[in-house]
Amino acid sequence: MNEKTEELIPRWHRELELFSGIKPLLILEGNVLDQYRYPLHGSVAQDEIIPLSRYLQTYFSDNGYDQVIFYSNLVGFMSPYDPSMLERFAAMTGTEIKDGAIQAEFKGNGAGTAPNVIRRAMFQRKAAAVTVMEMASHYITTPERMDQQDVNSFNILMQSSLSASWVRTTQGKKQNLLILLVNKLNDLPAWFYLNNPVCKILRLEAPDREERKRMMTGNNFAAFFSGTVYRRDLPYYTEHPDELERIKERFVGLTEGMTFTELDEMRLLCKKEEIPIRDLCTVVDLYKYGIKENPWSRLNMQSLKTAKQDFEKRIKGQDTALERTLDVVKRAVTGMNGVNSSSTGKPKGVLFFAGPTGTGKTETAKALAEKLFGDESNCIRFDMSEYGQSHSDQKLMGAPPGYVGYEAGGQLTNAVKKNPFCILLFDEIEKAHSTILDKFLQILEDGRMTDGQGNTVYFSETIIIFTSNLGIYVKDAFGNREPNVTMDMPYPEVQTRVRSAIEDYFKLELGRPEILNRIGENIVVFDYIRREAAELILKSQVDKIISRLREQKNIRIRIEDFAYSSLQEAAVFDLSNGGRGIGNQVESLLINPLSRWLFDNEISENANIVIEGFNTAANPPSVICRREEEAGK
Amino acid sequence: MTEGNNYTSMDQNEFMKRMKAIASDLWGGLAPAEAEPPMPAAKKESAPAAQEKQKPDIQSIWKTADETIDWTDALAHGTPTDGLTGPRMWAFYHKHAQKVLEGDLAAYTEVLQKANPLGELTEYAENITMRAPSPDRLESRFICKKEQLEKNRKLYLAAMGLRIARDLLACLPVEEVAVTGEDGGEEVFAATYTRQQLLHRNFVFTDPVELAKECGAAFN
Repeated sequence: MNEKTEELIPRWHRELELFSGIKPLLILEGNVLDQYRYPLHGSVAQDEIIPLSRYLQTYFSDNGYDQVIFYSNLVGFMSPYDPSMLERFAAMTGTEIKDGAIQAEFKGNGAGTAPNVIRRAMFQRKAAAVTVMEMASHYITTPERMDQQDVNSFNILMQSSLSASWVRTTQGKKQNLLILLVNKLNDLPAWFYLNNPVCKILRLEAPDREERKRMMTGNNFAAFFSGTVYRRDLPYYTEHPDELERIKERFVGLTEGMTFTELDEMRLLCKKEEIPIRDLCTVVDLYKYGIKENPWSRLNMQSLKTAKQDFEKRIKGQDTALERTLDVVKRAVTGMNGVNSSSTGKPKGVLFFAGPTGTGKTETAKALAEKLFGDESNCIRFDMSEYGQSHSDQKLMGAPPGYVGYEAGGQLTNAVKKNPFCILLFDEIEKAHSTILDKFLQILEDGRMTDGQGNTVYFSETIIIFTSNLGIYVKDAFGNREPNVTMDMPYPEVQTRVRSAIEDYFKLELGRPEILNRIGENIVVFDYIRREAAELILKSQVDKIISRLREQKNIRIRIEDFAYSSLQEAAVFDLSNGGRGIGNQVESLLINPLSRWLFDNEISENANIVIEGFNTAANPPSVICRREEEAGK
Repeated sequence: MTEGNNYTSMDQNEFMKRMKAIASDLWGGLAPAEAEPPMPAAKKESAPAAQEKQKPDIQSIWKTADETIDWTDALAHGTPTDGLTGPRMWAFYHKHAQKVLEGDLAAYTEVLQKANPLGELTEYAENITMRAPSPDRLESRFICKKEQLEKNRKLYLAAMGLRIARDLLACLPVEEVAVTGEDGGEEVFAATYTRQQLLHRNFVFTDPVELAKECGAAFN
């Protein structure tokens, strides 16, 4: 039993217990504005979520301290939870209570200033006293630009802690304590805490998995629901405890990295919206994105079954790549993503598309967006060649406060805030600056990012796709660029060579194997567009042109077999530019000459045209056409 | 003070007394232990309204209601979490929360007696009673006031029905409230208001007569 309780006490609390008995100066740094679960039995109920100030007040007064006094430079000394403590403190330090507080400036070294009042409290031996200085990050503008009065104030505090007295209490000897609550340690002058032998710094973190789990136990869990919902649903879950356990587990996973305040806000939202116990996890989406129904849960399994055939209509000759891509999507849809990890807040899927240019990498991402979210505009593309500078991460994530462009936010964070259910396509990732790769590491690992304005953006509903041409060319011993793969190599060899080159790039050239680890086995190598696929691409493009002319202008085009063969030979002759190259050839050999011929013959609509031949050798290329009389004329 | 001004004068002592009371309640009973005054018969502390209420008027009586008692919070916490409920009343909720959330009818009855959710409405009816026949449902019966009934029969009945339903749904975790109005021994109004129907509704813009009809009201 004791062992179990020990496990549920957060690390910082254990440090507080340990060091408050030996160090008179404690600095609590980090998540100081959050609320905390009180882990002990005491004057507040065990596991109650309370503000940090009340937590400290409870802990120290339960442990024999006679006075726990809070100081803020705006109000002065106060004791909101037990005003009688303030009266004793005032009598002890020779100060006066006015309007419920002892008013005292932080600055300076006069007898009535806060540091001097604290010094008196620290030196005296009548009653064990703890002074908690709240918002201590804001007492001075910056530690670099302190005036002499600020320096004096901190100096007095340091001296007070160096000579803090011990006091006899009913619970043994206690040393008078000074505690500072700061957001960041460097908000304080470094000389105040560095090499200070009586100072201990405790770091407050967001609640870990065990803490969040604890919030879901006992009566704390009940407080997530409205009375009506809880009364109605509880009998069922009392009969089915395993089911309840699964809901709790999932919730704990989904709330990775959230603070107690955020968890408490979700609790209130759950209650306000009368969310039933079985739908508890929907409150996470509601809190993060303001929606109850997640587009992922609306996905039609049936339509995914035919996804490969649908994709093949748009992307030709990439069977293996499409298969691998769909595997990742299926994993996301079935909820298997992240099952091998403690965090379920990670992106739904991560893909690294590699391969020669024009092989359908971007097109696959767009097709995927259309399939998953009904519209290819849900594929948000970032050309990473625009993010090659060291400060480019600010363009993507937003500039910090005080910098130009701070108000605008980041391009990536804004896009995801606007549409959290999307595919993020980072084209040519190898061209991004390495500082951006660090940001990606965080996104891939935690699924969240805080922008320059302090807003948390969640990536847990996105699929992230990186594309790259890495591995297509390598440098020889003299630094010359030479092809690593060629079109005459079979696909398995292309795949092996490209993968190996990508691994070398991240491990050896960039020295960042951790990025490769986050991508895992999701490197998808696209094959060269080979002759057979090229012919299919050509046919698909020609068909599209013919049908568009028929629909929009009622111009019916027929291409004679012989003419089509000559077009095909010319269009697929050079496949080094992949599908994009075929598109260029179609434009040059068919679209441009045909529109010229239509213009010259003053045909703008309602006509039947037969293309009898292509003069691909001419400059510019031309078409040989004739107009057919329409039937019935 | 100009004639016709709605403000009432208040001496400084009275003002300070009231401010002290507000402050004491805001600290959630963490102020130094003083002898608390005896619980008033009316329900002032039991179910604080969202804002300071003026004397209700039958023309707008349904627009305000008691604040919902947070039974699950009361179960989880020994001290008030809403900053509005007084410590003694919260202690009462905390003590009864388990039973209430189990749907215990004896606990329901005790809460109805102590919280007295319809106390404010007594001047609009000859008599009001309430009972808990099942964990999901509360029932209330009121004897109509003749003069109110004569002024605007439908509005009076619907306004009473809606306000009673709102106050009772706020008091206990039931799904529905059945309200019956009687006049001269005859039933003149009956409607059943469900929590779902009243959820997320802006009562300032709600027509109580229309809503009563949606809730199956029969006006006789």
